[in-house]
This record gives sequence, C-alpha cells and structure tokens, in this order.
Amino acid sequence: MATSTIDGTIEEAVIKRRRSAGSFYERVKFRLDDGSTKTWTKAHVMNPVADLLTPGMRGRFYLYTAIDHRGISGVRTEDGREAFGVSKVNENVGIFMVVTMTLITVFYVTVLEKISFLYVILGILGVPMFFLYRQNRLDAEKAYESDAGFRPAPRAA
Amino acid sequence: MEGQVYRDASPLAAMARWALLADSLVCAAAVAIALTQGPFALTFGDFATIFSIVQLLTGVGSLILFLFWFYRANANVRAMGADGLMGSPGLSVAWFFIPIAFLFMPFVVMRDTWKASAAPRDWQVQPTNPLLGFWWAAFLVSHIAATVALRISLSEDYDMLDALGVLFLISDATAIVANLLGIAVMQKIQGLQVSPVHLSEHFR
Repeated sequence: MATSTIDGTIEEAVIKRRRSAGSFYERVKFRLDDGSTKTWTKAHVMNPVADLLTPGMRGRFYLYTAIDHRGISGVRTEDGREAFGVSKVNENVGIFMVVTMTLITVFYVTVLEKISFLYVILGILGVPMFFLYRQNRLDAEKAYESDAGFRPAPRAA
Repeated sequence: MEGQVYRDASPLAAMARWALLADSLVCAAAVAIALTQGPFALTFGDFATIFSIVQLLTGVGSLILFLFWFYRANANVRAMGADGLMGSPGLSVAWFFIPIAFLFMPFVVMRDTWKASAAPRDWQVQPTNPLLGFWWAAFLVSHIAATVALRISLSEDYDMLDALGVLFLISDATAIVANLLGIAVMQKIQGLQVSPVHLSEHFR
C-alpha cells in the first residue's frame, strides 16, 4: 500500500501491549533530522524491531500503511544495529475468510438450498485483503533491502 | 508526497455544497408532504414517480459531487506532505461502496483527511472533531433507513406498509441533517487546506 522512510531520533515510544511475536504501540514520536516531529500512532511492530525502538535511538526507520493498519517494518540505527519484520497475520486472515466463507456458502447452497450474500461478500473481500497485505509486505521488504548497507550518519556535535 | 499534486478544490466544494443544499430542499419537501398528506403520499400519490426521480437525481448527484471533492481534498493533503494515510485518494472514495467496510471506513478516511489538513507533517496526533461523528451517524441512519425501506417496497410485503412510511420519513429527515453537517465538514476541511499558513509552510 504505502511505505516511507524517515531519518530521525525517537523521542517517545508508548507501548500498548506486547505479544510473543509483535508489539502494538499507542504512539511512536520521532524528531526528524530537519527539526520537525512525526508521530506514528496505533502502530504494529514485530518484536526484533520493537527492541530497538527506545527513546534517544537515532537511525533510519521504515514505516508502512496497509488499508487501516500502520506499522514500523524496519530500523537501521546509528550504532550499526538493524532489524526488519512485517506480520503475515492479516494475509492469513484474508485466506481464512476466502476458505471458510466459500465452505459456508457451499453448505448454504447444497444443504439449505439458499444463499447468504453476507458470506459471499465476506469471501470476496478476503481476496483483495490477502493481495493488499501481501503487496504491502513485499513493498516493505523491497524498501528495506534497497537500503542494504546503509548506516545513518553520526549525529552532528 | 506520494506523487500527488495540489490543486485548489474550492470550485468542487462550491458545486458539492449547492448540490447538497438542493438535495436537502428536496428531502425537506418530502418530509413536509409526508407530515401533511400522510406517509404514503410519496409512495402511492399522484406525483410519487416524478418526486422519486427528482429525489434520486439530487441524492446521487450530490453524493457524486461530494465524492469528487473528497477525492481532490484527500489528494491535496498528500501533496501537502501528509504520509501514512490509508491507500490512495481513489481507495478513500471506494470505501463508500465496499460492502461492510462502508459502515466505518468512510468515517475513518474523512477523519484522517481532516487531521492531515490541519497538520500535514504530524497529523496522527491531531484531535478528532466531534462534528465528523455526528455527520457520519446521520449519513448512516439516512442510508440504512432508505435501504431497508427499499427492500420492504421491493418485497411487496403489505403488512410492512406502516413501517415503510416511517422509514422513508426517517431517511429524509436524517438526510437533511447529514447534508448540512456534510457541508460543514467540507467547509472546515476546505478552510484548513487553503489556509495561507499551510500554503507557505508546504509549498515554498
């Protein structure tokens, strides 16, 4: 969907909850190198990336927006550390919707001899959902890999 | 930002405003007729057909113009430097027509467009204006009531005739509220986008 990169320093990282694989942030506030601020709210971050999101951390941050989800897919820090990760959960939800709604529709048509448009619509919506989230993940990977070897310049004294 | 070019949306906003006002007038006439001549005057009355056509034209016409303006407004905030907005201007409009998602996504993209108009560089922390919630609630009630009424009329279930009249009345009355609030939302966003402060900050 949309990916972007910013160079700056984390001013604030307010975590909402942390799970085994990923974390949800209430907000992550960056101080950009040009002096302005940017805040990323309700962001999902995989834990290897989340571990580097600490106040004061300077580096290049890779952001994404997919449908109604925002996240931080990667980071390359000033001190040479880097991490990347994008969840596949929403892609899998899309596939799950297509499969289960198709099965329910088949059940309706063959056993109940009627059709429920709700299940048909949900099944159809699963298709673009899968492809949009998959494309977002691939775009995020591409953006991160295109910067391979990049290391943010040291902070000016 | 994101390949969008800023274009003044004022002409589109003006056209959409007049179309919404025209639709409000037609809806107000429908409410007045229903209250004075009974709820079925516009369903089975002498001029039911012609009134339905006029109402359809003003309703669809105002929605189309409103969405044209919204597309431009959404593209403009991207041009003003806002990133992290959902999808594209086209998808922002498409949400109005996607089943199930149309219940909440148009509100979300309109809210984000408003926030990004107020502060393009750091829009996510901007507060949500309650006007948006009232507009979207009225819009939803109006359209859901109209849809249910249409389904009842198509089913030819004569036991539901009373409900049909009430639903059309609710739909018309809330459409007036939704249109007027829609105009207010549009003007607020438009006012933020043409602000010289924003223009000087983002286009110098």
